[in-house]
Amino acid sequence: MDVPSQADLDRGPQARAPGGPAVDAAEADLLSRARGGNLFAFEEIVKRYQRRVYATAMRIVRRHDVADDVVQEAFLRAHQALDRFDLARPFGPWICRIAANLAVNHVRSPQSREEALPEAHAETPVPGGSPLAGVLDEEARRQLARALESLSSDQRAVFVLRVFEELSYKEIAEALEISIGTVMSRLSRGRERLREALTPYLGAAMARRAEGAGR
Amino acid sequence: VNGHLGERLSALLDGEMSPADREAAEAHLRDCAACTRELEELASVDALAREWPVEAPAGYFDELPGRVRARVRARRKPRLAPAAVWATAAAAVVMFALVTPLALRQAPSTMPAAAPVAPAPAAVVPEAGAIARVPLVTEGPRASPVPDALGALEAPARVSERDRMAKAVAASKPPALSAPRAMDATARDKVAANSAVPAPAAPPPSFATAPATPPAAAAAESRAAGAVAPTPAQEEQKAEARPQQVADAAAPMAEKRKEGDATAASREGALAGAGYERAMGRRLRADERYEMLLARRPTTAADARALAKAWEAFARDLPAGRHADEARVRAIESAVTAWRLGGEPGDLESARAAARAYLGAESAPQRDRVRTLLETLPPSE
Repeated sequence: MDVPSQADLDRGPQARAPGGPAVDAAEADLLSRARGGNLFAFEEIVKRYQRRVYATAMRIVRRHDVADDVVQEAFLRAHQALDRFDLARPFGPWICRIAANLAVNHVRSPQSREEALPEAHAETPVPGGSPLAGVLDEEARRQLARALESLSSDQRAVFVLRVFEELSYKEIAEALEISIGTVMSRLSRGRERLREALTPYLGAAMARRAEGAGR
Repeated sequence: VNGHLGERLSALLDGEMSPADREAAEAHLRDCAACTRELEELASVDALAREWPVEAPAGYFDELPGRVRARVRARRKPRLAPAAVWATAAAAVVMFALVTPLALRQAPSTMPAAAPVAPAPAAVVPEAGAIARVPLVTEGPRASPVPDALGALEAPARVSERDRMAKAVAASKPPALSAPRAMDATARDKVAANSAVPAPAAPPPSFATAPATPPAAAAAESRAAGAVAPTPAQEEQKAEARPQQVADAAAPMAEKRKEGDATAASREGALAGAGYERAMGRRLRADERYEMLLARRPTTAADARALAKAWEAFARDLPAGRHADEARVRAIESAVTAWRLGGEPGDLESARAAARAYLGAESAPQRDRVRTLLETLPPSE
């Protein structure tokens, strides 16, 4: 496979096994204690998932202050709904769905349209030593950020939930309150747009993928 | 049009096609180099995008968990509300007992015995926050239907609504005190009247102003959440959760306060609420905190050092608590662990100093345990 992706990093060791929930016992224990009112157990849950939830929010809203609001709100809602959460299911996708819903609702709000995105916010170069260094050069990263920002936030939300959270179309539709057909068309258009913008870099990416597959 | 897969490529890539469509698409791909190439490119788009970095300001993730915990705690307060109801009822009974005979004696013929009108002295009121919560707990006067527990929570527009409710109810204090049974109706009317007034233009946090989030979206989201974790007892929980959440008047106040946008009334309420929670929730939280510290198993010197500090802080925060002594001893033990894990002379010195301080204190119930621990350490020069 490819080098560890940002998604892998976001996800950390609690990655969801493809095709089925993988809930570790420690997490189930923490969640059950949090449900019983133990705030410190819940804080541990926040520690485990904060990066992943933040990444989901940030990729959709593109502003730290808004992402921060979304993340806090998502954890608060999850906490309040913990009684109804099925402990046999992984927590990560659930909290990310809540965050994505909040993020999209924010972006859709008239207030958010008035707030211009800070210039080149997402283009902060990743410092050396990052796992990305050497995979994408700076220009490619900049182009990637520009391309992703050129998507509508609705397209971006669908794309983020699919590509980073690996949710099914049905799960995405539920999280964002849209039809499966809409999920399909937003994803398709979003990807098509990215494909056009990233054409110069796709050759190298394809070569890497082929190399990974050949190993 | 031309038979190419077009938009369907994306669904094919995600494995989101019906078996029949998929078969047809794969058959097409065998003969169509253009579509095959496009599919590969789309897969590469995903792979490239996964390298999309997200960065947060330095230190953000260090402080976020604590901020979330503080907000959860602020909202959890209503769990204590039943106690507030009892406190208020008790205060009302006392008032009734005190005021009625006086009133009867002073004006036996004109004063209706059951309606003492003397304004409640503030001293009798346990605290404003408790009073504010009472009617909310009994049955919140909500204009909009509450979709369910999740939706009811923090549909942001309700922050200011709840704030107003709290103020309105706080304003109805005297009737609440003198006639607890009638309080519901009175307070509700007042609140209903008050809620009709447009909200004072309070600029809530950037997210909370998003008008898209309230009822419809929140309801839909709760559907989504419910779909993820369906429970047979949902209805019961709704019934339970609703008063709790509706009752949560103090949390938004605290938030407002943070924004520097609190009126004097809500500021007072939030402060009183904080005091109340401190009084009622201290023991519970101390136990939780104690339990979490006990569960920590440091694996590095830095962990152990941090744990020692946490135990010290625990003992300092709750010097008279029932776990304080154990915390003092554990702080020493953790310092020793830090030294064992890292070999830093500084840790050894801290452990010794803490042990000496413990043994030198007037009360040292676990003197033997600490002495034994000291004996395992190398002699100090």
